[in-house]
Parts: sequence; C-alpha cells; structure tokens
Amino acid sequence: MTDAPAELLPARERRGRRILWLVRALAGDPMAVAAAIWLLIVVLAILADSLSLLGDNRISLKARNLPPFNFSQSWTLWLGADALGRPLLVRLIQAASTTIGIALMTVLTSLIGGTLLGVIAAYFGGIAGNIIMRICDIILGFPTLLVALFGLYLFGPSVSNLVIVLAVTRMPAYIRVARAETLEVRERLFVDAARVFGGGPVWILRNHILPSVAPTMLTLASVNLAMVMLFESGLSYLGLGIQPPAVSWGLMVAQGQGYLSSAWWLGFFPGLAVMFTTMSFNLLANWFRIVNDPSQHWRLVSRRR
Amino acid sequence: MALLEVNDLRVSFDTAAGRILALNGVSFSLNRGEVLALLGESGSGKSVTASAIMDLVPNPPGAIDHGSIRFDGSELLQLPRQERRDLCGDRIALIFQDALAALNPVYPVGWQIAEMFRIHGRTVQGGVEKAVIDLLTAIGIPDPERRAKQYPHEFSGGMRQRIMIAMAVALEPDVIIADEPTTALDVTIQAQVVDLLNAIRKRSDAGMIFITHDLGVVAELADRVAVMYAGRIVETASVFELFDDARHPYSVGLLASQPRMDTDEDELVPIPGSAPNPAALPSGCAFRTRCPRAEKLCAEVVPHLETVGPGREVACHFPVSPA
Repeated sequence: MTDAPAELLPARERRGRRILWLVRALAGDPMAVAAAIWLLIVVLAILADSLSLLGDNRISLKARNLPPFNFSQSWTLWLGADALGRPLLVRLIQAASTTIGIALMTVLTSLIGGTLLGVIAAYFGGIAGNIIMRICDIILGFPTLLVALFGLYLFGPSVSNLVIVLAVTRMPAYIRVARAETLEVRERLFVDAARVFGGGPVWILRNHILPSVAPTMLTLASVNLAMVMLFESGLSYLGLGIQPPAVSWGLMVAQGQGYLSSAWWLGFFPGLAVMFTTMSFNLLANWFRIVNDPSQHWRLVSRRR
Repeated sequence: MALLEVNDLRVSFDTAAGRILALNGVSFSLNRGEVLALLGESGSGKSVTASAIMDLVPNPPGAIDHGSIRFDGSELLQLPRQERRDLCGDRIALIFQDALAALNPVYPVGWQIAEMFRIHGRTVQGGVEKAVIDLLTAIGIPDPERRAKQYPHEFSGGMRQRIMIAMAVALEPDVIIADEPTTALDVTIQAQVVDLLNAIRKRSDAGMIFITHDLGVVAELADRVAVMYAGRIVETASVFELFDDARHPYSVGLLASQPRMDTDEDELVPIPGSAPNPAALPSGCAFRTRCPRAEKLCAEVVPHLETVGPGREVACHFPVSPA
C-alpha cells in the first residue's frame, strides 16, 4: 500500500504518525512492553559488545567455575564464570548475536519463501502448485534432524549453511499453512469483488490475499523462532552447528550439561536467555498481530484501567 | 444498438447430482439510461446471469457453454483476459448483495474506494483523495473526511451498501449490475438505497440491471422487467405492462402472491408447489407442474420467447389473454 493516498488512511497507517501510534499501542499491552524492554537490553548488549565496551574475555584459571552472584568481583563475573574462567555474562552477550542472528535469518527466510510458495501454490494451483506441495511432502517425510544432519555433513558446518538447512527444513510448515489460509481467503467475497472491479492476479495477491494471510504466518514465525533456537542448539550439541570458539546459547547449554551437578549456572543462564528471548518474540508477535487487525486494535489504544 | 446484449446464454455447473443447467438460453438487452429488472425466485438464475457478465462463474465447476454477451460492440466472451478485466469496474460494475463480505475488513473504506482508481490507473483532477471524499459526500455519508479512514465493521449495514455503491460508480460505468442490493437491509434503508442508486445512475445516464425478487422495488425503479424461471426468461415487458397485464402464468402467480394495498382482496394466492429441482427439470415447460393452465402440449414442447407486442415477449403455449 505504498502508493495509497495518505489522506485516506487512519493515523496508524501514515508513515509520519505511525511510530507515535505504535508507541501508544504498545503502552496498552504491559506484557509487550516487558518483551520490548528485554529485547532492547539484548540489542544494546550486542551493540556494546561489538564496540568492545565489555572488557576482557580472557581465560583466567583463578576464576574457573566461579559461582554467580558474587558481587565482590568485577560486574562481568556477577553471573559466574565458565570452566575456563571466562565471565559468563560476556559469553552470554557474545552468544546472543549468533543465536538471535541465526534464528532471525532462518525464520525470515522460511517465512518469506514459505509464504510466497504457499500462496502461489494455492492461488494458481495446477502443476506448479502440485510440484511445490509434493516437494513439501518429501521434506516432511524425513525426520527434520536427519535432513539437517545430512545437509550439514554434506556442505560442512558454517553459519550460512546452518541457516539454509534450518530454513529449508522448516519451510514446508509455512508453505502448508500459507496454502491453507490462501485457499480459505481466496473464496471470500472481497476477493471476488476485487476481481469484479478489475484487479488482476498480482494486484489481488498483493493487496487482498497477503494482508489476510500475514497475521497467521507471523504467529507461526514467532512460534518457530523458539523452535529454531532450540534446533540450532541441538545441532551445535551434535557438533554440526556453531563451531567453538564461536559460541551460541545452544552451544553453551550443551557445554554446561557436563557440569550440571557442580556448576549449574553454566547451562542455566543461557537456557534462561533462550526462554526470555523466545517468549519476548512470541509476546511481541501477538501484540503486532492485534495492532494490525483493524477490528482488534482498539483494545490496545482505548483500554482504561 | 443496445449497450449490452445477452444472447442465448447457457451456463452449467457440475454438482454431485450431475451436470445442472443454471442458465438455459437467456437473452435480453439493455439500453443506455434504462433500468432492466431481473425478477425471479431464488435459484432462477438471476445471480448467475450477473456472474456470467462479470466473468465470475467459477470454472470448474461452472462453465459458460453457449451464447454471447456483447457490450458496446465487443464480444465479452471472446475478449482477451486483460481487456475484459479492464472493462470490469471501469465500464461495467457490480454491486454485491452482501456489502460486509464484499469489503475487505483490513482496509479503511476510503482506501477501498480509492482502489477503484488505482486498479485502473486513473488520475483525477484534484487527486484521488478528493474524488473519494466527493463520492462519500455524494452517497450521503456525514463527515466524509473522518469516515473515509474507518473500517467496514465501523459502519451500519445501509452505509456499507452505500459504500459498495460508491465503489461501483466511482469510475462512472456504462452498465451497473445491482445483485439484490437491498435484500439484506431494513425497509426504510432499502428505500434510501434505491433512491440513491437511481439518482446516481441518472446522473451518468448508465444502464442498470437490477436483480431482485422484490416487486415493490421493481415497480419503483425499473423501466423494463425480465421474469426468470428455472434458468430461462419467461416474460419481458415494460414495468406497467407487467403489473397491469402479465401474460405468463408464472408472472401472474408472482403478482398474485404479493400483498397489494390497492385492492380489497384479503387473501394472498401463493403459487402451488415449489421451484423445480434444477438437476431434474420437468420435460417441456419447466413451470408446467405448478401451472394452472398446463396442458399436454406443455410437457412435450419447450415454449420459446415469442413477441406478443412492442417490447413484449412471452414464453408460453397458453398465455393469459390480455386483460
């Protein structure tokens, strides 16, 4: 709707006022505020790390498996230290950029690719639709982990290969959901109306089908974000994901597993980070869905407590 | 030459009960500035006629088997896709019965009216925004600047139907097809919508096909009436002729089953029986099983439309004699 006449759109659709409106809508949902704050902290931490503001991350044998909440130490050691004496907080932040980066890239790839393929398969059907759906069936026919392992074994473990393998194995779910949604929306009267008023297939797909399918796809993507993070940790655990010395939350959980009885914090804090982050994405996705549903968004702006 | 000419149109659908004929040779014509009412019971093929003209017959299961639809000299059924699409909305527009379902819930109504201009790449003097506000004013929406930014669910049923009308007439089409636009509305709102539709149509001198089963609306709005039964047109007449002196027994029955204020008759006379199953139409005349005048010939020979007077056609072997 980029070329829509701005005057005809409500404030929330106009570029200038959109941000203000979003802030106001965010204030209506306390859970989304908490989620946004958490993600903001994570982003700031990643930024601080990339500007090397976090101090050293050197191996220190004196601090081996230092327990957390020892506030007499430097603040980087407040969450304890790992088996090599590296401050856990710094490690967590360094892992955040890898984990979130991979998860976001994977989900975005499968979201965009899956939605497009699913919508095309449903709207045009025919041979192309059949080919797309049968390929999905084939991918779904194998255990996801097996496909991922095979792919990573063939192409070698690297961040880009990890993203591609994870995206491809998750994509059939998106394609199927997008296809089912499109089949339903396609039969709605407003699609017929758009055709009667002269809209071609591209116009209808872009302006009528996609906006109706998007909320469902977005919800699916937010759920999948958590799954992808866990999947990535699983693959890293098996040695085919992130390779040390690079680090991800999943890898940290895997490495901490051996110390669970003696140094619980090694696995606990990365696990907690995964949980908070996935929950934040889910809450924000839910808020975003409501914001973009015209018959629901009043809930966010007009609630008085 | 007529603006829109439909000739011997046949449309069929594949169903579980076999192939059924929804339209079985429908012919009519529409002139500029004229209102033609398509009158008939549910299932008589009124809406399918509109769908066929607007290229909305779902294929499969439906198919246009035969016939021609000529609009302004060009044959719609043979036009390339793109050209036909360009006509839709621009020169021929359809008003849906269910405005709530026909409006996209995720866009403000102003956006949807503006969509008409954008689909057809029209630029208007003063901008599309102004054109939309003008249209909303013309259809009597108060405070149009504010209302344009609201969503379909924030409007009442009558207002939504008016917005539907505003969309249909936005590009001043030559032919407006209104598919039961008042059926879902209150009686008071019905009158307003009919008046509005008529006023807007008169302004651009468009021809209109008004699909309805409401005789009151027909009497108020139409110039000519085509009565449909079981996928065929059984009688065409001017609106006065039909009400004063209907010839086809079905038209007579339809008029008799409508309450009237101008006669003393206490009882309504319904047409006996019910509309025939389209998968198993009676042989010969489809109406014969419910017809008080049916004879042996009716079961054997299908009656075709025959001219019985200027602009009058009846498809009946034994038409009711002139009053």
